[in-house]
Amino acid sequence: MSAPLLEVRDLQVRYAGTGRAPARTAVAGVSFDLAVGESLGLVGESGSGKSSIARALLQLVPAQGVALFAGLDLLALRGAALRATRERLQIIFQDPLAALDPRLRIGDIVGEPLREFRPQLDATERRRQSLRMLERVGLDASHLDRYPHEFSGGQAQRIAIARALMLGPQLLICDEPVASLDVSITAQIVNLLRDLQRELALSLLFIAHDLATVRQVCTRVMVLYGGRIMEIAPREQLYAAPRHPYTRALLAAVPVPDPGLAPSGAPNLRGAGDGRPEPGGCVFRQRCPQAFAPCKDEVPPLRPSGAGLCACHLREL
Amino acid sequence: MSAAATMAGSWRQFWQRFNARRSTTVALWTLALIVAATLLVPVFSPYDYSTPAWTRIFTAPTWRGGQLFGTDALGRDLLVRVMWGCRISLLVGLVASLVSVVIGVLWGATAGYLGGRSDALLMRAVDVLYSVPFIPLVIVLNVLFGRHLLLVFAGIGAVSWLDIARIVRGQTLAIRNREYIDAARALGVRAPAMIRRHVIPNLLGIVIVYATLTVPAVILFEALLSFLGLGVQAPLASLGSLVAEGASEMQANPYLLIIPALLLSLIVLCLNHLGDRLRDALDPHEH
Amino acid sequence: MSTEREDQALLSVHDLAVSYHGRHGAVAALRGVSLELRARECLGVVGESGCGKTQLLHAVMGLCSGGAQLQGSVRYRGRELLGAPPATLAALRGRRLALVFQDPLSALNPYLRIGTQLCEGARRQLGLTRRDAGRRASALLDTVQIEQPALRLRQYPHELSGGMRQRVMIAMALMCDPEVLLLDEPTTALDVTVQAQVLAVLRELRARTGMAMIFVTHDLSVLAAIADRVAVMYAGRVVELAPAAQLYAAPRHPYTAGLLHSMPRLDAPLYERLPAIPGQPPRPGDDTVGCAFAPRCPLVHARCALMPALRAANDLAVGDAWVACHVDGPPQRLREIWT
Repeated sequence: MSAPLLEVRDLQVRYAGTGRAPARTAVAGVSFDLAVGESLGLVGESGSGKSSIARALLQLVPAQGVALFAGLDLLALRGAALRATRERLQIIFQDPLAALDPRLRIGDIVGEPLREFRPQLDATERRRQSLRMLERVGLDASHLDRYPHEFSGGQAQRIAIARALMLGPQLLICDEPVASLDVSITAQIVNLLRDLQRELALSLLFIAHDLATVRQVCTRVMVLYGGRIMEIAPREQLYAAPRHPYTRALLAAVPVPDPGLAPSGAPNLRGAGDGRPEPGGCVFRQRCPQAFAPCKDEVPPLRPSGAGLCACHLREL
Repeated sequence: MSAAATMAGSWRQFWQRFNARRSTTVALWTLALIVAATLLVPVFSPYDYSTPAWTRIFTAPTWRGGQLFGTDALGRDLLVRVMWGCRISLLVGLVASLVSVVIGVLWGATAGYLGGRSDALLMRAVDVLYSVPFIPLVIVLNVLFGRHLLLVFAGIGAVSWLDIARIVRGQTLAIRNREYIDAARALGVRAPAMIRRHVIPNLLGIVIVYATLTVPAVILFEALLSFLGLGVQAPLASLGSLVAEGASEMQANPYLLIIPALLLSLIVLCLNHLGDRLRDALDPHEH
Repeated sequence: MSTEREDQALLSVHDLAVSYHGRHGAVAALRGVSLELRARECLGVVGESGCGKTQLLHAVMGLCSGGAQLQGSVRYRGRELLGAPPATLAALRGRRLALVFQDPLSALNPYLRIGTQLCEGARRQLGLTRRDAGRRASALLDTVQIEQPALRLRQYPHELSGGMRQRVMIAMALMCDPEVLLLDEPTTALDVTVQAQVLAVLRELRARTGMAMIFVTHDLSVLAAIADRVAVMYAGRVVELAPAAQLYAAPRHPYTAGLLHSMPRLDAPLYERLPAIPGQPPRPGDDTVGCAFAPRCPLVHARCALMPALRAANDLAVGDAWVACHVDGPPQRLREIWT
């Protein structure tokens, strides 16, 4: 069992208050490991902190805690050392068209990582390598000289993936990569990511709100709520026998395209999660149908449960 | 579609939108005519702008001898002097605007992108310069260094980049939050390359518009300076100094005032209109 | 497609076409859509971006922008809505036909309080006093699971989360107790747990008041929980229309089958590779001759160069099923090609 590729310990992300919005804690202490070659899913609803985790790992937002990536603390690095990690850790975003500079041509966009990290390459060589990567993601030479606005969301996401993979990273963070894509394109992108993962021995941190998509891509899944981990488990266990009440509610709420299986009643949750959670105890207790006395007093720690971990005071399941 | 065809296509669309109204075509042709005249008339005219002709002072505009605008107090041909005046005005307008745009864009984009203390420092400098009284500054410069055309550039240049810097900073703040900037940061792009490659090209639209609107403003500034006697030195003339000369002869020979003033107004009007149309043409394209 | 039951239909759309003047000529958003909404039913309309589903709702409500050219017919209880005088439409909108818009951020006025916006329509259409309207608004906010309704009524749109805004939009549509509720992606921006709750609310509402609905979405799974019949749209046309149970179990159009098999689903086995529909959905400006789905269809053949009409499906297990495809094989075959 080799050392994990990524070890995150007590990651916290706090956004300072501005005039409009009060200060809030997006991630309240998250710890997890990611093994080499693994695809770990991060699932949560809005406000769960999943996007903040992705951005924190790339220092796109300030964060506290430790995130060891092949021995280096991603959160503590600065300057040249931080820049060096960009070759090994990359990200693709939710809105692919917004993630491409509208003023640059695709060839330049995909070739930018080479300009930054392989200055010895000349323009022709950059173009050749960019073309090769574009072909790998299913595009071709005619696309090199076009502008982002000429492409659909699905194609733009392929371009973003090509850009992210140019330097051969070990870990690719996918921040809701299919959320804004058409349904018929989702499968294409999911397949592409899985193919690339196999070909290039990539590890994936796959962030999404759709449990069905995550199940297709990830072998281990982490469920977040209110900036904390509720449950982490191997895919088989999480979907077949979820331990945490929130996981259960989530799974029950996911619609399936089968009228026979459709839920006939409302899911078993109180409220709609609008107001700010009251401090103290389990962050989920106000919506939890099974909350009882200890939930108000203590934050439940992540404890082993079956083949995974669960943060809930209800232990006997 | 090849790259060249795509570029040509978007240029064509832009041109169609820009040139949609007749007023724009008129403005463009007027400016073109004026520029052509300023370049060609002094070359082909038998008169020059500084040689006095004591027998022909204060002649009214006439067809005779090609002195379409008449002559001034020293018998110099007004047509040639006005053409030279246009040259100086346009030159100052273009060069000073170019310099202010370059300084303003770099200053504003850097301030906007870096944020924090650097931003505060850079923009406080702008605020301080804003509060410097412009005319006394030019007077002081003139006293210290004598009258010289370069001082005009310096004086105007020192001030007209401030507006652009502020506007560019505002736009940069908006651009900074866009996802492609995050994506570039995640790729390890550093601040200088970021500003050069991602921020400034995306500012170009608004910069071009403001640059085109700066040119007439600068021309008017220069006219003001020359009118006050702080600008070009005689016998060189700019439209402003010609207006000043004409103002003193207003009662007896109004053409000396009317003609340069009209031309100045015409140039400024055309440039302002073109700047407006440029903004309209570029805006919907952005979205 | 005209049915014998047109007189029973609450809302009847016949050959509706909407086109706009784009930069390069006419852009067709809808190319001849025919369907009907019966009393007390929920008709689901599903399609991807560019299929024209939002335009369909806007055309029914008479909200297409000024440059739009509409053809065809839209009848509400027998009265023609297309080209009707503005006064007629204004009387119907809100009161009998209500629309829940897609983007709550732009559909809510940022300068007015929620309470004001909620009560606006009701006070004018129903003549309620401010207090009565306020009470009604409060009750409806409660129905859509918004906590502390009194507080929310006094707030401005920017003070609410995206999910709350969308629920406010639903409440707003319900203020005048409409007969027909048109919903444009009402749960798309909501978290999945809130979505489930809102769907439950809508189901309960239908059961209680008998309100008819047209529910437009890109998510087939959501419709399974609420729709009685489902219309699948592609490139401005309806390509399949069938009762929900039949559509999900045995889709007859390759596109529908493709969608159902390529979506990641919790109730399906885990595939090594998801079956995927190749290519991209067409954009509104793209004009194709013949079937718009042909470039992506594994069953394409020569006849597909001709536009297929929406016709009754051959093997009429459950009647009332329509499909626009030249190939009418057994559903088995469609399943095979996609797995």
